[in-house]
Amino acid sequence: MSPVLSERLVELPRNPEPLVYEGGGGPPLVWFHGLGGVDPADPVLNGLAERFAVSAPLTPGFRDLGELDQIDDIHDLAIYYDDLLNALGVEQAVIAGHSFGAMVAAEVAAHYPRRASQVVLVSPFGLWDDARPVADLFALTAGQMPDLLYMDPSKAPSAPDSPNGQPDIEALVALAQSMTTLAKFMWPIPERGLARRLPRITVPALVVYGAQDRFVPVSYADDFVSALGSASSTLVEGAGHMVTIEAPDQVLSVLNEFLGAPAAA
Amino acid sequence: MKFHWFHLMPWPYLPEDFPKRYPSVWVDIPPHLYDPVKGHDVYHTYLSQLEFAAECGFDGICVNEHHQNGYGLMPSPNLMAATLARSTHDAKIVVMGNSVALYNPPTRVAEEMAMVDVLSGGRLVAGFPVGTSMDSAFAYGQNPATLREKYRESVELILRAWTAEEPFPFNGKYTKLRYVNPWPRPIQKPHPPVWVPGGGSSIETWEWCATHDFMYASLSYFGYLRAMKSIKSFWETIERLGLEPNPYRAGFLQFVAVADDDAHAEKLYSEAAHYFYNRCLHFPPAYREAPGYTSIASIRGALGSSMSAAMAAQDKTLGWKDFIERGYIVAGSADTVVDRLNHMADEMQIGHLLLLCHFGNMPDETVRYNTQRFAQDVIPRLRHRFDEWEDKWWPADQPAEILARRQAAQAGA
Repeated sequence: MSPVLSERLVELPRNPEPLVYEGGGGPPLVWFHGLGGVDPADPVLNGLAERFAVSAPLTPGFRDLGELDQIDDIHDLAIYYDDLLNALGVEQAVIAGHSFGAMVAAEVAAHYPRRASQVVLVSPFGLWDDARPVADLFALTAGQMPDLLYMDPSKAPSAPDSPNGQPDIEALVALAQSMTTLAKFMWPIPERGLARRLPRITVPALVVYGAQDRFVPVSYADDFVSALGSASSTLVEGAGHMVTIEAPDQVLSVLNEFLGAPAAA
Repeated sequence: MKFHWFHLMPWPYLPEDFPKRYPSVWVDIPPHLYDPVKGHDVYHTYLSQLEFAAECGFDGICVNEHHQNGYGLMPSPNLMAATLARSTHDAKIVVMGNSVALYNPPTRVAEEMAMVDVLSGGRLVAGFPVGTSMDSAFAYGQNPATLREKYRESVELILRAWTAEEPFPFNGKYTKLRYVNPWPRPIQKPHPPVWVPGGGSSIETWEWCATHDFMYASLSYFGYLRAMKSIKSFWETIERLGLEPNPYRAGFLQFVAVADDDAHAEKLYSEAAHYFYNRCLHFPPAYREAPGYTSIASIRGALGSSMSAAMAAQDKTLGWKDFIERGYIVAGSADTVVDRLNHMADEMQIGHLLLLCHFGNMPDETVRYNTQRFAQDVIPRLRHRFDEWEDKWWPADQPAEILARRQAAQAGA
């Protein structure tokens, strides 16, 4: 049985209490989630928790936009996570993330290179080339997003049923909070100068894309690899941007291979 | 009651199959559909219509700001206001308005609006919109997560710039200036009246307008029937804050079409209405709601933007009957129009009525007919509504010196 992540509120100076999902044991691994927040049953996270002490913080703003009042930009966000790692007692960890979280992971590792023992970026954005634009997520309604994010849109979690045909206000609020938070760091172009900072990361890094990613052109894998000091990339066939949902077993296998031999069962 | 003639300045040559062939009238409208040589005539025709409305006796003539938009050809309303400031003499110039969060620094707005106020002899009404999601977030790249905060900071800066007795430093989150000191300065003291156009649905905007004593103008393309609920919520907010329910605190935009009777109205105006509702409003739904554009409180209040709500309900190509029944357009004989606007005034207590006598691709002669009939046959019958209230959101009389100069110029002419 996979361990299940549990929630914890962490005390942090100057900021509202961050919500962190934790589980497993072993060396520390910090996972920055993607577009939809943390799913405690996420098979990739639970697989990693078999060998690592996984901490997966929820991005400030997802629960309450007021959490962003003291966070103006990506640098403030990196500082916030530096404070959070202190509060968690984590000196150094595997710094990993998916999608938006991969951009955050790269920024945190680039701002604080000594924090990272290894870096894992799954479906990252954060770089920009006019000739290969990252698609505009914000020009789509929630209903249109699965076609962009999944190779097989039927794998997208279905929208919550609205009782009596009335809009589900809480679901709309949650969506608005998460999308507004993403917009804060991604609007109008998800690039905040990461290319200048990536060379600060010299520890081993892995870049993974779903081979059929329609959101971020997979050719960006080469840009990440060449900007990072010591990196390689892997494409996972049969998956789009949401590769951790569409092909969790392949992702786990690729990550385990990079991170080293699995601990004895 | 006051009556203001509002021009959107739509491009009148969108092809009939526009909604089928092209993705959007806004943001990424195909550049080749604009013809600048035809555009020359379009601008001059539209400016002449605004001047004609001023001659007909409308209280204000209104221009507004849109970007990358096939139905709104005024990225800079101040340019239009400047020419109208010279060609008109009595009508107030209602700039509805400048999307202040888009200007860097926002003191640019303080300067240009002061120029228009001085040029016009103190006839400026200063509108400060957030700007639509399409304009501010998509076309001008403003971060929707912080747009409203930036907007409010910009408005505070402009008002301070207009009223400060000395140059001052402004250390804002979005604008940092060591020396704020706009020249010229507006004629109107302490500053021109401030109107805040909105989508008719933001509780925070209502509270903010109320506490700052700004006039709130609900700009909907979907008529007074649909707006009644939100305008009632607006007046509840005013009451809750303990403020007097002065009708001049509020404005509303309404399409009108005056004719001899209902059938005549349909004959005259139907094509232009189709053009506006079925071609000019063609754009993807996600553009209307950049994330963060609508506040969480407004989502919880189930208000959303009026445009989103109305367009979500727009499940088919609408026809003239729909426009009339839904109240998008108040049309018919002068009696019919007066009755419906009285109904609106009774229910909504709106002191400032902004009127679209031009819409879509309406021919010039029809625009002038509509404008003249409204001025002659409708305005006098509604004029004295709300006379018991003082309009505190309107330019004061022009300075005597300026009036004397104009009289001397007219006598000499």
